[in-house]
Order: sequence, then structure tokens, then C-alpha cells
Amino acid sequence: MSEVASVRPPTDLRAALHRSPLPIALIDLDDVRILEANAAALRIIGLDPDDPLPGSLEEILSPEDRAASRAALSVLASGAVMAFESRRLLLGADGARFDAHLWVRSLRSIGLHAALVILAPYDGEDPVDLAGGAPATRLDLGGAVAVGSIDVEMRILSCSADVVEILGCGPEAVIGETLVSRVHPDDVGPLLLGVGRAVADEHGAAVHVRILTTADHYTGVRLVVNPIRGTTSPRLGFVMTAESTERGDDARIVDLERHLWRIALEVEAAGVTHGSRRVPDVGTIAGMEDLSPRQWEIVTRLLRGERVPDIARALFLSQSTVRNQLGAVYRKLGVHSQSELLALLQGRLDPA
Amino acid sequence: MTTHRSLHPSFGPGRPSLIFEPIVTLADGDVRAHEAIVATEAPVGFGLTRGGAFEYVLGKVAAHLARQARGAAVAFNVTLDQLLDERLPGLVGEIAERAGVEPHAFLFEIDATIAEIEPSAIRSAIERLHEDAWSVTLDRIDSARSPLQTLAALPVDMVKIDQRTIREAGRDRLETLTAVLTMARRLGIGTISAGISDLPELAAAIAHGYDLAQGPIFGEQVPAPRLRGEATGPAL
Repeated sequence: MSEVASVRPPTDLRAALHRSPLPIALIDLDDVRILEANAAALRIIGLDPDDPLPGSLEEILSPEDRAASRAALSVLASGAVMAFESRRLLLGADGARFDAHLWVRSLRSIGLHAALVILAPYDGEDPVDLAGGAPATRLDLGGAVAVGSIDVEMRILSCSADVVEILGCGPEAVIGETLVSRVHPDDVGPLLLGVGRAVADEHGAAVHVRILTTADHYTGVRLVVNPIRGTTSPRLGFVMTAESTERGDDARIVDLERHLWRIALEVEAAGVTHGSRRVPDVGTIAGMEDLSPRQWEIVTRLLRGERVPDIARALFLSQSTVRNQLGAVYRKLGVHSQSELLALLQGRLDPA
Repeated sequence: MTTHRSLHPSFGPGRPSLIFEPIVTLADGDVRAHEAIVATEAPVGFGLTRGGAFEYVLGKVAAHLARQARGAAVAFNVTLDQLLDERLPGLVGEIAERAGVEPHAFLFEIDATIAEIEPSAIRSAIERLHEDAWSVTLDRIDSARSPLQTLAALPVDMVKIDQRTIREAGRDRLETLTAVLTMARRLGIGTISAGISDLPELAAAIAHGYDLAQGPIFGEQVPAPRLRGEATGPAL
């Protein structure tokens, strides 16, 4: 494993991490060593920026939560999922224990066998507001990335000031408009499909569309749309990123930094830090430790809402191979059907 | 089995070269996997390599995955002897773990002509691989004497049809291969169109509803050090 042990975050990623207002740590996905943590993250666990980093993520987890975390991280390391959320009991530097919400995102899309961990102290029923303030007044994006929200009719409800870098006009000019009116007619179909999917499956969607600027020409953007949970009226958060046409080392570094920002913004746009959705913590279910890594992968995909044909396609397997593996999972967990399995994993059924 | 004329000195001067051919999703043009091929001046036969070289070559593939394409999937052919060897999944898993890559990044391929030799033993070997959900592709089903019978007899995950055979096939053979595609879909088996070299063949593959495709149109086979490269063919 010497290849993996040498994971070193690129300098630009580290710089972006330390500039982020969100409490973020970067961990190696093989041995969960903490490779980097910003001041906001250290503050949460009671450390100063000059203090040595804890050796691994496990050191800041209470012992009873370590096995479940290891299981969930192994699924992330396998590539079966890109991110997961979990509630954990953390150990502060002074030995105090406190509840926290962890949002863990793999960085394999930028070629790192590592993950970002965003730590949010969780205080009973109250959602945590790490960000504070409205996006339009708070964000300093350092690149052409705008974040905002739309209603189900795609009317723009809010938008960060950074939109000026993409469209040439400030948020006041676009709030109240419908997103469709700014999108190239040929791209309206993909946009509607993307938003429809985001609303239907609650997993969010990304679409590439051309959008009208004040210079009266269309520019390519990537739109990531996520349902915002915990609001009284249905809303979707969006992250709009200008599509870079440049290439080369400089552009790659800029892209890398934007990637980190985008991740942080996607978290906020999805409302994770405001109204965290409870994601089943499957690592705590008895019998799960008997599943092979491949069975883990199939089960986690099922939990994400993928159907057997989707799973088969993604894993280069036939549908019958996937069904046979699911049959083995049922036997190990003492359930008899996919619906019973999902009920068990989602905490709606007691283990046999 | 494809061979490559211009050898790349991956293994040293005068030795065979390891190259990768992209496998592309026809629905969106994404590169889903690569096929690892050992290129020699003469056809290499069916199987990535034979004997002790197998472990060495697979180790090379795993090392490239670990360094340059963690998360990518690589398909490779195995010989009849290798497939029937009960130690095969353990050996592949061990090589993958030694390199620090996910074992199931390796996808097994068996040639349909060898699959006809001992169908019951091959069926058992595939079932053994399926115990841990390894992926098994039936390669060049177009070369089998009885493609439909072969597909029905073996519980494979994907089936590959080579366009080069279709180019030369008579009408009866084409009808049989169309029936193979229909049967594969009904069985929930993935379909790959291999050897696509021009736009009409690509259009035909899309029209026939293949899931995946590979061949010269998606760009040159890449030597191992460039495994991360994207397909350079036309946008789909």
C-alpha cells in the first residue's frame, strides 16, 4: 500500500481548504489519517491551528462509533458511493464528548484516494447553521461559481453576487426571472429533465446548458440542482459554474480549487448544514460485517435508489448476478425481500 | 483478439507491449473501462498471456491502475486453463490488493470458441467467479459455432460481438447474431460491440441497441502510461 500512503493533497487544494469558512478536514481513505484540517475544523475539536493534527479520524471518534465509521469509509473507498452523511459522537481535545454531523465526500473525481470531511456540531433538534448570513453577502468564491435557489417553477428566488462573473449582471437582475427564460432553447429539454430528476429522486442532478449573458450571447455553464430539505415550500438549491474552455496546468489548478469550492457550495445548496437529512447508518446493523465488499457495494447502491438493472450496468454484471448477490445478502441479514432489506437498512425494521 | 502494429516498449526492447483499448458507453460516450491487450507482432492467441507471464502482466496492469487510473475498470482475456484454475479469483484479488486497487476493477473475458470446449466445466468456473460477483464477459460470440446455444449455456454478465465478423457474415449469421442480442437483453446481460472502425458501424451499433462499444473509432489503443487518456472518437 505504499502508493496510497504517499497521498499528498496538492498545494492549491490545501490553500483552498484553509480559506474555506466550513470546518473541513482531509483524510486518507486507506488508513483514515488526517492529512489536513482547517482552523474551523480544529476549533470544533478543541485544538488551535498550531497544535499537532490528530493522527487519524478514529482518534476524534468515540470508541463505540469507530467500527461503524470504518465500515462506511470502506464503502466510500471502494468507490461505490461518492459521499455519505452520518451522526457521530466526537471526542474533543479535553475529553468531552459531543454530537456531530459528518458529511464525507470522496475526492476520487480529481484523482485523490482521499476524502473531505465536513464536521458540524449537532445540537439536539436544531439544525446547525454553520454558514450564517445570506449567500449574496457572504460568499467569496474566487472563481466563476454562483449559488442560489429556485422554486418548482424554476423562478430564481435567491442568487449569490458571484453571478455577475458568469452572466454580467448582479443577483437583482435575475431574481424573479425563470431559469428557463435564460437558457438556450435547445437546452431547455435537458434542463427540465435534470430538474425533474432532482425533484423526483431527491438525489440532485447536474446538467450542462448554455445561458444568456447581458452581452447577448450564450455561455456554457454546469448547473447542479439539489432539493433543499427542511423548508416550508419546495425549493431547489443550484450551483452554477462557468465551463472552462482553457486547459493546461494553470487551468487545472484553477479547476481544482473550484472543485473544492463547488463541493462546499453543493453542501450548502443541498441544505445539509441547515437541515441535515438522516442518512441510514448501515454500519451499525448486525450482520452487515459478514457482507463481502462487493455485497456492500450493491447494498449501498440500492440504498441510493439504484435499481437492479442500474447496478448491473454500473458493475459490469448481469442482472441475475446482482440478484444472486442480493439473495446472499438477504440470507446474511435474515430478510426475505428487497423491501424488507431496505426497511431494515433505513431503520424501519428491527434486525431478526 | 486485437493486435497492435507499432509496439510500445512497456516491457523492455523486443518484448511484447501492454496496451489499453477504451470501452465506451454508447448512450453518452463516456469511457467506462479499458481492455488490456498484449500486443505482439504475431497474434497472441486467446488470453492476455499464458503461464507465469500472466501474473507479471496483470501486476503491470494493476500498478498502472494504482498510479494513474484508480477507480478505472480493465477487462482482460483468460485462457481455458486459467479459467478452470480454482486459484484464479484468489490470484487476481491478491495482485490487485498488492497494488492497492479494487480487485473488481478487473473484468474477466473468455473467448466463445474456447467456451464451447467444456461447457459444463466452464459454467462451474463462471459460477465460482460469481460467488464474489466478478464480472465475466463472453468475448467474440460471433465466432462460436452455435452462438445462441453458447449464450444459453453460460451464465455470463456481458457478451461481446465483433463488427469485423459482422462485416463478413452472411444473412443467416446476421440473423443469428440479432437473436443473440435480443436474448442477451431478455436475460439482463450487457452487450458490447467490438472492433468498430467507422461511423456507419457506430451508427449500426447504436441502432441495434448495444450498451457498450470499443474499436479504432474511439481513438488509438493507448500504451499503458497513457491509460488515463480520454477516447478521441466522435461525440455520440
